[in-house]
Amino acid sequence: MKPVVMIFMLAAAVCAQPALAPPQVGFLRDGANSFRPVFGIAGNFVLGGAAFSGVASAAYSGSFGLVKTDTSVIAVDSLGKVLASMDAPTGPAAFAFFSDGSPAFVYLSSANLLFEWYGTGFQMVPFDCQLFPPSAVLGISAPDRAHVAFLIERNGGLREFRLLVESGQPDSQIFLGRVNTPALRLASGELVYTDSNGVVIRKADATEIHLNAQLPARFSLAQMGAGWVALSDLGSSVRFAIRVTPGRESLYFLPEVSQ
Amino acid sequence: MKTWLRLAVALLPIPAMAQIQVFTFNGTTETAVGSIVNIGSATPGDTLETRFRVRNQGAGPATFQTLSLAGEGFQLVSASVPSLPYIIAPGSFAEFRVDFAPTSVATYSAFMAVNTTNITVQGSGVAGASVTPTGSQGPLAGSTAIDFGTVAVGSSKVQSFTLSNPGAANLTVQAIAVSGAGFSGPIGVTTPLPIAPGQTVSFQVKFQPVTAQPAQGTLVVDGRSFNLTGLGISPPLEAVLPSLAIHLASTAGASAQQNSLSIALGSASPVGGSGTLAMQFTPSVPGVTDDPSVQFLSGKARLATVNFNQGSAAGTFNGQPSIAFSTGATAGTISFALTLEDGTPAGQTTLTIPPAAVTLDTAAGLRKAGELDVSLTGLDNTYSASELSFTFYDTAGATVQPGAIPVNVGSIFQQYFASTQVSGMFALLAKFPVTGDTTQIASVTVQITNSAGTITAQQVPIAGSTPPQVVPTSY
Repeated sequence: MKPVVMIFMLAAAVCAQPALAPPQVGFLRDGANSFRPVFGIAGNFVLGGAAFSGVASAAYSGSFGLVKTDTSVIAVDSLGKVLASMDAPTGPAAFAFFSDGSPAFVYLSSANLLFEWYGTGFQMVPFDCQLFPPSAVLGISAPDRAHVAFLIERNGGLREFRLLVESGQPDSQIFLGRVNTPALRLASGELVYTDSNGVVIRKADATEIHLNAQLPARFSLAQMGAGWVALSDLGSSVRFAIRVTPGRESLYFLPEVSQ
Repeated sequence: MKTWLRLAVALLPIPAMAQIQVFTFNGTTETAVGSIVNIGSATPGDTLETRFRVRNQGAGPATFQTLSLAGEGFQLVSASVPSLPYIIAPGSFAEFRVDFAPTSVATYSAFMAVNTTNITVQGSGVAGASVTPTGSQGPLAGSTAIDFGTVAVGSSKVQSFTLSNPGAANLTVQAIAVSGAGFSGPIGVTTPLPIAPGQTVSFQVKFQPVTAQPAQGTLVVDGRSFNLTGLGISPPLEAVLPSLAIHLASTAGASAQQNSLSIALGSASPVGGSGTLAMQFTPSVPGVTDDPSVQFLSGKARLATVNFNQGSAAGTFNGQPSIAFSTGATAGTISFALTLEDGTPAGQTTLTIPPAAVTLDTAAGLRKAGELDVSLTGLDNTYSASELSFTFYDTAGATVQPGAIPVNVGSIFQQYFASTQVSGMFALLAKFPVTGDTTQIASVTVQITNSAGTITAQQVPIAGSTPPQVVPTSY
């Protein structure tokens, strides 16, 4: 028997529902170290006003942002509004989100400390800090609610150490191959890195998409939205947007903040 | 004679005699002069000038005491003779010039005395054509310089000369040669060239400097040399710009594209320079004055500096061969105008962005309790979206009743476009209250219409989701 589904089709009611807003790709840390929204659609981006300045590291999942300034770690919503913050030592941070976009973990390499987001704030996660030196940590990710994964560069190769959040002890280790750094693991499973021809997106099933590009000599990678990664030239204010959405993979220039 | 010599020796300080040495100087090289020096040949009517140097090769000062020259056809250039006696420091020299102007075809000689050094100066009067530059009052004297003046690199100047036979017998010019970087010729004449008495023949020499520097060359007519001089200068940048072209990587205009622009010169630029490339956007949508998302993707939004490096056939933007720009989200015309640093317009091009049906970038369906959300992002470069239609399908692919649900969105889009800062781009969220088992609804097809057409997003999957719950906290 066919299930009965009824959509309210009152024209007046439906007409009242659609809402329009500027499309938002996400947030990024610009060349002036400000955290600002990126509006637009693929290929046509507009930078919004800065939400924070003096930003050392930043990432945005599509619904939440994590920002590291000189003195704080801040969680923000999609409008850039502060949800929570905590004091933090100077230095960069690595961030991880869960696959639903909610904040997961913050790793402060200067102090070798790991924090998890508990819904309204951050709390420290003890872990075996002898597993790898902080300088080897390229990034972190949240494969699931029970694990935090550290992306480690060791012996010329890339490894992923998965730790149990509850105990802080190692659970598994994966060798990802001789992958150029920097690299970024997303909650959706994609590994983003680069080779001599440009950007490589390695899917969860190990297939790879190559995006040809002439990339800067030194750059960093950070999630800037749902299905978007920002590639930032460390020597200039040039920024690229990498779209990692399956079937829509592409590389774009991002506009610079107009002088 | 012996008495005279003894007297001269007695009058001069002894060191002066041994230290003085006479040389001829051709502008670059000194040649020591013995008791006889042949300064070359000249045609009757020409003057051949020779530079002499009296050099002190001793360790102490020497005195240039006396100078005399006696002989037909030879003459000291009085203005060139230093006031004597002249003290010459060790290693230094004094210079004077001698003109040789034969009046006939014959061998000439003269006696020149420099202090106690006697030198026989010889020269030959030879039959030859006289050489007269166009615009000159008379024939060239030997070693005379013909100045081509200032010529921009890449340009050229031609100087005409007239060969004439002033004698009573036929003569033949055996060779005419031009040498020196930037100088070429002769043009319009071949040798051997017989010239009858009273006859004249013209030819040209071209100066086309290859560098922005002084240039020197030589015109040789049957062994008689005439110096050629000229000054190459950097041409104004606009002089090389007739072949400038502004290239767009893609000439297919469409919204939300990242295009790039490069500037090519027809050949390597002989000079360096810079210009400013200005971008302007003229919307074709009524009531819309601009679209800020039409912009360069590096540097300033609508201005870029173009550098032209010497030797390069292309402009550069901050060291890069091209500059990227985004085409925005509004129909209209993007114009690029290049202006040189002195304000000279140097080129322009345009890219037309035609009106197009709505473009959807993302389309997603989300199943919630008692509700289905359909979200779209895209652009309408006509700002005229008017109709939306949603058709839901169940897991078997069958249309869910009531079928297509039309929604008139003309007014809300007009309100949105009138106030948004992101031009023709939009994010739309439509919520549909549902009764029944929403898990049975699998996809939705969305149609959206504007003044340029209708597009359809087919069978957009509807996913289940539990959105993250966060309690905002104030700090």
